[in-house]
Amino acid sequence: MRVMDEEKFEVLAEWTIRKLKDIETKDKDKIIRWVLYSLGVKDVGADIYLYLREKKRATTTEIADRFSISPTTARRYLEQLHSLGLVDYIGREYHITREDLSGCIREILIPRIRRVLYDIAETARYAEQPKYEGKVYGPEKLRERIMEAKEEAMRNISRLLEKGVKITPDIISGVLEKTFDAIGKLMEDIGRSLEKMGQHMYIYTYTTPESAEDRKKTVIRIDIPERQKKRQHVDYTRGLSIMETRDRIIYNIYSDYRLTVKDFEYARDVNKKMLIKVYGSLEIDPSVGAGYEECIEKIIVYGVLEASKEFIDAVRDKLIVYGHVDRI
Amino acid sequence: MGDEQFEVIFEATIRYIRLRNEDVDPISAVLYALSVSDTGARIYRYLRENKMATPEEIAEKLNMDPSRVQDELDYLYSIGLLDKLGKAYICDMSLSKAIRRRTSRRVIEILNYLADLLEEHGESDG
Repeated sequence: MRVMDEEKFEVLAEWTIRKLKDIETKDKDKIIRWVLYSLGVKDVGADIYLYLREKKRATTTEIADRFSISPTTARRYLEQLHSLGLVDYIGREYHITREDLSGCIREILIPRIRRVLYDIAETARYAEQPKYEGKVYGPEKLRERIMEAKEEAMRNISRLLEKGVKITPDIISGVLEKTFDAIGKLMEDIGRSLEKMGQHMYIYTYTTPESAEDRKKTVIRIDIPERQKKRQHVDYTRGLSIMETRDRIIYNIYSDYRLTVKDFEYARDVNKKMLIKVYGSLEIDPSVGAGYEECIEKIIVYGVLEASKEFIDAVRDKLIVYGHVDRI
Repeated sequence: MGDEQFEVIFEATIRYIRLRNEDVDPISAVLYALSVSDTGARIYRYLRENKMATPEEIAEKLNMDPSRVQDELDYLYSIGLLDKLGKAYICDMSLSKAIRRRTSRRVIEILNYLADLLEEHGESDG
């Protein structure tokens, strides 16, 4: 067993996936055992699964008695089968989730594993992000810096006047350009800091004050996309949800899904835009070309999107990618 | 029917974990979630820094047993965290990308193969 420092981590669930040497048999029971062993389910675990498959439902005590093991051991095996999505329970009674093991793998286990790996990859992405070590400016600093830029502009104008330079519109424009460049650079710095650190920024602007009381403040809020937003309520067992509203078709793809020309034609026929959120893996058929760009409102990719290069290029402005995009 | 009749070619364990404290290095957590051992984690970090190295070089630099290094490299390669070119093992992409592009794909491929096999043999009828 591969052990690191278990004191640091609590394992909530684990899945062992084995690649086994192929077997030459047509015996269904043996094939099922071979598949179960590929999923890390050993002898007794496999026996319990096959028993539940035949009997449909049984309590932990019944299973413990049937296999001459303690209820705690029975529960441990059942928990493993439950993590794999092969069995479910109500109260003390366990039952198989679906008649077909292949369906369990495709509809429950694959989305679950994909989701866990996605979370692991996200943790890695957090860790690999460059740490921001620059300065962070508050609104007071912003005002201070704007005042500095203004004073510098005034000094420059005075200097030019002292030298007897005639102030022409060109000179004024040059001085103002320098001032606004300084302000612009500062704003850019602030924007970058906040983008790396947080969710939004506030910019305070002031009208020229006659007195402190007359000062009018305008607050501009600029929202920066919440890149690391946690999704707490994802239903792992569902592969897909499609919802139609008055003017949209909203796809939430948790598992593997494929969109074809038909789906796009349908959206076009009913005059609705497609809003697609990919948490799992979406393949858009290569025959869906740039011409279908108009059907898309937005595609947000947290998982993997595969589509033709032509289509990806066409929807570039409507594509928000936190995961990965493959051009076929 | 015993499990010993099945020959294991490759085995990976994926863990859904929770950190016991906030001070844990996230990269360690990620490697632990992919069941990479302490030794494997040291090798992975070495390759992350040096991009490319042979097993002999790693064994020498990290003062490890060469056959142990080879086992760990095989595991890291099999779960897709490393690439291999000739004798050299290469850490050619970030950990997050490697998990998304290679680990996830390899694991899902194995699972799809199992489902295909069951369907081919009419498992749902039985």
